[in-house]
Amino acid sequence: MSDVQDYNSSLSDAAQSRKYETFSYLPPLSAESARAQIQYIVDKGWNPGIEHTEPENAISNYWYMWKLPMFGETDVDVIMAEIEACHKAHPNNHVRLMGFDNFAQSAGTAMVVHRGISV
Amino acid sequence: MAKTYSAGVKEYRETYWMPDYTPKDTDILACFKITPQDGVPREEVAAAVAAESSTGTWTTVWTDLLTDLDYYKGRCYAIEDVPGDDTCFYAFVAYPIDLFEEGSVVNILTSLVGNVFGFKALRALRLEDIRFPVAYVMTCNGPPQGIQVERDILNKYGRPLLGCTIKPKLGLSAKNYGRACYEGLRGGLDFTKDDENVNSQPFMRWRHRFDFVMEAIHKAEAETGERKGHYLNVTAPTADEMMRRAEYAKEIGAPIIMHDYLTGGLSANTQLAQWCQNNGMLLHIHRAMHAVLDRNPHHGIHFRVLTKILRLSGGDHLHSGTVVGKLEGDRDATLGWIDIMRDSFIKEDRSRGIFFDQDWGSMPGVMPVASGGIHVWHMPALVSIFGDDSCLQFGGGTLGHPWGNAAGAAANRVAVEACVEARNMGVELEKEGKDILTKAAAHSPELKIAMETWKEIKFEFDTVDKIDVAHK
Amino acid sequence: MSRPDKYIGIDNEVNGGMTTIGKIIRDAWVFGLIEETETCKGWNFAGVDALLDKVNKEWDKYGCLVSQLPPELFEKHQRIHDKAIAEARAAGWSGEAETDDEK
Repeated sequence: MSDVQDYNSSLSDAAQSRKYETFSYLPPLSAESARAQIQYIVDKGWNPGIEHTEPENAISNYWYMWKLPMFGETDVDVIMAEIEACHKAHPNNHVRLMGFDNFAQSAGTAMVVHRGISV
Repeated sequence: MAKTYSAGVKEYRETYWMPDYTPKDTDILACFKITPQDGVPREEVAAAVAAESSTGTWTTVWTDLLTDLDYYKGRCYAIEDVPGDDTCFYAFVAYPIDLFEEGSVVNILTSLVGNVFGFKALRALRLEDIRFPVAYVMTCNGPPQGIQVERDILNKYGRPLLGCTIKPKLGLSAKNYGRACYEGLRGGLDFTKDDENVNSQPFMRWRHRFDFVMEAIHKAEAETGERKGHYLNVTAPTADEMMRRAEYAKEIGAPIIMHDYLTGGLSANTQLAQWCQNNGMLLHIHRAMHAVLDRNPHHGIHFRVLTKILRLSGGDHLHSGTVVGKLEGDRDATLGWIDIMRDSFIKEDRSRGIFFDQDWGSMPGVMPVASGGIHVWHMPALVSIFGDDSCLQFGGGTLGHPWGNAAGAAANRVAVEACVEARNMGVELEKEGKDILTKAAAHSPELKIAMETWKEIKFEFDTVDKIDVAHK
Repeated sequence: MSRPDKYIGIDNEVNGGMTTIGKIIRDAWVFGLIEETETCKGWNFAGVDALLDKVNKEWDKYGCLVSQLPPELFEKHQRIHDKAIAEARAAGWSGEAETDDEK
């Protein structure tokens, strides 16, 4: 047993255990892949939106809305800039990018683009 | 023509074969594939099918003289060749909507696949498709929640959901069973599933299973911060017992339950679906016995009909079969009934076996569940074919991982996310599948082992095509 | 046919040892719960079940995931399981055997 080191349980070891749905089992999105995902949302005709939350409140359905959903926005740079602005204003929070599908009346996709430190 | 008391096949032809009839928007339409006995003319036997599946069975009683048969009768309005098979033909029959009770798929099946299937002038008979007029659709309850609501409940967007059927691990004790669920869920699955054979046997009574599995869900949720579920099978010997199990599942906070809609029965299923809708529960539907009904190409009921029946009766998930993997599955036909599950309007398309336009009005869709013989190498094709609104269920493909359940689950989760990410970036999944998975495996030892465990699949499409097409 | 009441030993297993019990024993080796020379031959099933509980407790520390094992255990896990996979394959096991029987 000497080679077995004691280790905190995963319930308390949040940093490596907590996930945030789509893409959270992949390494954090690079700026380049984030841009590609934004382009996908735009190409789908979905309305991009940004939400953020303190990691301890991540389980809630309702994250804080960053400004308003960007209805009709198709410029990837503009959307990317809003993500960064949200991250800058709330550096410790999870920031997620949504694509709202107004035909399905539901989010078409949602992904965390900046990961806070989970608790 | 004066009404008289007599009945026979000849008579049917005069009354039920109406090639000039134009179906009404409110008619229920059916397409039968008829294999007649030798020497019986097509029109005659088609008329007999129309008769025997509607008012025909009433004509031996003198009281039919008091009934407005001309209104209630089924009308065979068209006959077509079956491409590539001259032993049989298609007959199209229209039924007036008020021949059937509102909101009752039971009543419709009793008529359409009742006595007529034993009719002597037939060698074989298959119900290929039914067009339910939107007027009838709106009388049915349908899926309890539907795909969008399910996503909102589970907070899962922009990717297919992942599931796994739990097989006995070490013995069948409820506690070990719950453990197997826990490992799968914490490894990255969204759902685990009761095996359809697991109801409430002496070795594992339902209530213990429910309790242990719920603990597994709660713990996995607390650890991962994601919402999890397990299809608790409430299929039971009586509807009362089924409801008792469903009520308990709700009481302990389970988000989803499961029912076997054919063996459990359609009345029970409809009742359960309505209860689920009223109680905010999701309903996963298993389809044991479907092969008894849909496997023979000349006799029985096609699965696309069983799919429509389920959407009307109610269910949020339905097993669809896979297009890939080792199962026999005709890609085009499968894609046809997947659309029937999910879309709000499906156009007639003979190349996919769809005989009628089908308008579902505002009825929510059913999420197709792909399961059976699939593993991580199938992931690119599954994501490409099924898209986001589906549940991909890897049984042996999860539990068979040499490192165990959690590793198998993580491998599948990493793989599905890598495929979705690549697809969103415009990569052709089926072509680049190997590269996508290899790249993702660089940071996931679980996926790497899964890729070594199963053999790479080469995708070759358009190989099997069992839709009726001319081959002569 | 009477049911065996003793475990046959991981080196005599079906599927070249790629079974539920086989996986438990290998994980027990990884976590140092038993010696790597212990094949569990002659154990009764209560003993295997108790070993499963111990293995589970260890896995709980790492979220059941190999990728979360500390380097030392990770290496040990790779060594033990890589060998097992190779041996099972040599004995005729393959991943397809796990999925072939599914409907």
